[in-house]
Amino acid sequence: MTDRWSTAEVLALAPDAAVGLAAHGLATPSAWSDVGCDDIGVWGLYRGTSAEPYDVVVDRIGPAWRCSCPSRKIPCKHAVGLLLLWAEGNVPSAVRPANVRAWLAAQQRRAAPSSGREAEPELPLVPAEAPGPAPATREEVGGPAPRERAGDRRADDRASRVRAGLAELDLWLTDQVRRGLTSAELARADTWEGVASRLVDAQAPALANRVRRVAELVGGGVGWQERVLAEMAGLHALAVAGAAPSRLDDDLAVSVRTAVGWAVSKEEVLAGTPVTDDWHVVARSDTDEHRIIVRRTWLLGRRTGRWGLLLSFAAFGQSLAGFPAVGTLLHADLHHFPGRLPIRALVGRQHEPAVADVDGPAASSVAATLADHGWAVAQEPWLERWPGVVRGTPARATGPGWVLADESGGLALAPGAYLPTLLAVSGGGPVVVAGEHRANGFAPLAVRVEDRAAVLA
Amino acid sequence: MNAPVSLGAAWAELVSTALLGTDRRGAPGRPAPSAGADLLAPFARAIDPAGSLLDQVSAVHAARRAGARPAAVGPRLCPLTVWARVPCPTPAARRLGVVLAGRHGDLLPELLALLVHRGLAVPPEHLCALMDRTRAEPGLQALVVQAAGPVLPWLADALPQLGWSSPSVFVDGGRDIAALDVARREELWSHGSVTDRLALLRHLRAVEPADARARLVQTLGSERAEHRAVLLGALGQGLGPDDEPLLERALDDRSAVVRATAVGLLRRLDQSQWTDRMAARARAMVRVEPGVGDGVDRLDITLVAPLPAAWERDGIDAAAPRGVSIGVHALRQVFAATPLAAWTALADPPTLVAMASAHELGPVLIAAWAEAAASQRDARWARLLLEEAEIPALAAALDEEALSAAAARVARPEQLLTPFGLAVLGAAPRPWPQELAHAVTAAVVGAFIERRVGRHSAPLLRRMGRLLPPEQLEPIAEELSMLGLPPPLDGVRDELCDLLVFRAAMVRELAPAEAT
Repeated sequence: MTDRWSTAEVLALAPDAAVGLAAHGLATPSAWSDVGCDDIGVWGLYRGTSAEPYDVVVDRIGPAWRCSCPSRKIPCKHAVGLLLLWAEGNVPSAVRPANVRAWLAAQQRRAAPSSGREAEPELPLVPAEAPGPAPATREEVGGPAPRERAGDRRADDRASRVRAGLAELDLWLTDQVRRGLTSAELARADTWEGVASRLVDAQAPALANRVRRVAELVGGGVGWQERVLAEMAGLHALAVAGAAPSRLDDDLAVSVRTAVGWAVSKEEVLAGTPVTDDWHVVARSDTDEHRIIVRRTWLLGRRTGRWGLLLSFAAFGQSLAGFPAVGTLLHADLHHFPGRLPIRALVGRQHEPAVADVDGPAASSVAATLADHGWAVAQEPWLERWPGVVRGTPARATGPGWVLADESGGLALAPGAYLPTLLAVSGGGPVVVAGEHRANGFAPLAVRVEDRAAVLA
Repeated sequence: MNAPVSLGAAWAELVSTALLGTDRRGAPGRPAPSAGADLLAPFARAIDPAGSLLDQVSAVHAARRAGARPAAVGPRLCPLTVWARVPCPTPAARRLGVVLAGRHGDLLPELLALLVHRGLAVPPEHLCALMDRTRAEPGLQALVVQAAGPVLPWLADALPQLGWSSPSVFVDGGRDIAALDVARREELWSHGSVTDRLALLRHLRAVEPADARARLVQTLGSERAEHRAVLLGALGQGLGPDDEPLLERALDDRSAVVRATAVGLLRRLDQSQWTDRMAARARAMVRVEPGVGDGVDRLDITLVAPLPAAWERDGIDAAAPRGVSIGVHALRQVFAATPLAAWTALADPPTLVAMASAHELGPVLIAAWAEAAASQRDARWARLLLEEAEIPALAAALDEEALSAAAARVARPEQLLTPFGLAVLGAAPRPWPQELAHAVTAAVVGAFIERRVGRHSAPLLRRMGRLLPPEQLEPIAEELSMLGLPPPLDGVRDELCDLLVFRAAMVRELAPAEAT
């Protein structure tokens, strides 16, 4: 094992000093049996005072742990103790027992797939913008499995269903414009849900979710038709482009397919050339997309200045991945998904544990972030979110609402509950804010305070 | 070439067509002759006006988004210039976030007090969460306001929609009110909100108590009940015998809230007509009956029921809890409010306590006197009563010597985790002598070894964790973590250790620089 951790690194994982202390006492080889490790996991049985030995497994990549003890500390002293044992070189390499294999495989599936090299069952893939309407559908959407002939047939089937679905969508869109956007039908929620579920049936889940997001604008305040019209035009563009992707440039075709709901396999992404950098974890946002929570974590490369977007998903009641945390610096390989605007990414090899981001990311001026956003929109006009790190002073807009102001002008801010905290941090002076450009303005998600980042929830 | 049309105009045209519908309005036909003409030309499809319209909307919308320019800026905020405080170090700021998120949330008051003590600014990112907390726990407000300092009034001004009371309340010690000239002060008094006037009253109580009282007299008649109570409460600062007539008058107020406020304040005066009345009632209830055969004097107690109206006027609660007679309930309240000195005419305190404990109402009498001893800080009575019953409130009234003795007594596994034991530990003079520190550590460990704790003791253990002297936290956690305990006891131990270690780290992070 070349990447064996130091004792200090292991102890840093303990949730508190008491666990670390207790773990020290457990890290003696005589207390353990059936211990083993490979390049990902460490496992073993701890024979403590209880009748049943505790069954401990650690996934070092996650990192994640499982222990059959009743402790509510995570990780518990047994997991930390096992890692100490391993760090001290007292755990031999071994082949995973079956139960360990199953758990580690489940971990790899759940976590960022840093171990793409592992031969694993095909993951249920998730489209770029949206996780698909329901797990069942996602499963179906999931495996393009191009190696199998049956898979080929399935892919062909799907392509024709998607094409039919897009044609139907465009017909509906043009019908609305023909009749006028003031029609009562358009203002009804079930109209839109009908359109969305037909797209789900047509296996275009990302587009279905986009329709649902448009539906949320319906009836919302004066002039909602204007905002809905803009989004309908985006749907129309995707429907037209998605019907004939072969007429587009390769990278644009990939972008369109992604926006419709075709997934790129994680293996394929991880096989691509990574960008290695110190990634500032600048912000994250959670959105509820049809009963699934989508977490977007935005990374900004310190040397390359490149963006990365990590997506993670949780069904109702599950908790979202806390890694990587906002305000940390991650020295890692980032593999970007293909497309006209490669931004979504997977973390490949992580070279060092994440550290506190003391200096913070370089910030743009208001004019520069608008220009950057403009460039991105020009690449993908249906773009819904684009990240930015801006230095500016919160100030009132000339109309209602607030802006971030610098000498180049004001960046209109999306309304939100973040405002009091943003102002408190600013004290009326300039602050460095990370956030997303959205249809209704720039949404601040995190702000730098002294040598740390504060999440604006 | 036609005159160029802006994208904005092109957009407005497209929107109005879409609203009416291309069936009625007709196709947009040719794209608007504008800077965007080249952009739109490929989309002008004659076959399908609706599709053509959507094409153009798509292009114009993208062009407008991509070409967005910085917006105009409205009036700038006046920046907060007086920070006057050192920023909170990052580890402590993170810890505050963790505490606010609910982990060891009961340490919040101590954490804030440490910030105040060090003169550090509250981490601004947690300000809103702290203010939200004060809504649920109004008791925290004063501490939060003090810890936050000038950023709070600044933010309350910048965002009036937050509804964070008036800025003047927020300023430490009313300093900004002191800076107001007389005219501005009068304006605040006659037109300010109730919180403004409260701030002004508090300030005046510190410098010109009589003026504050005069203003209160003049205004009480015209205020709403809850405002009267709040303003009357301002007398709490610098309360003195001169305030008594006003408080006595407030006992006849229409509102129960105002009357309760007045009683609360009267209770704090050492001597007043109110305490005289209480003493007279107490004395009328008790007689010493000389011992006949055995020569031992006895107490003869006459309960009063139903309560006379004058008793209720003085704030004596007539609603006895279930199982307690109204007479006993009243006796307890009257005794607790009577100056202990009033009893010496009857007998000396040791004799009184001895007679009381022989009486069938003994526990009630002792408890009532304990309440009186605690509120009147009477060490002599406290020590006497302690011999009869270990009442937690007494700990606060004991002198240092008695406290040290009591602390040595409670530092045992079977005594420590009782309300009395913890009250004594909390009040014991610090720093603890070596022997006490060792005895308490041994007692905590002993309580686990002897299985005197369980899931049910979590609240008491947490209380202990909060009141132990900081330097004792880690030694105790260390001893505890070495114990081999079966479930669920190990879980109880782990939770306690977690609190001890967490609190120790919190105190260390905010320790004064010279100590680190």
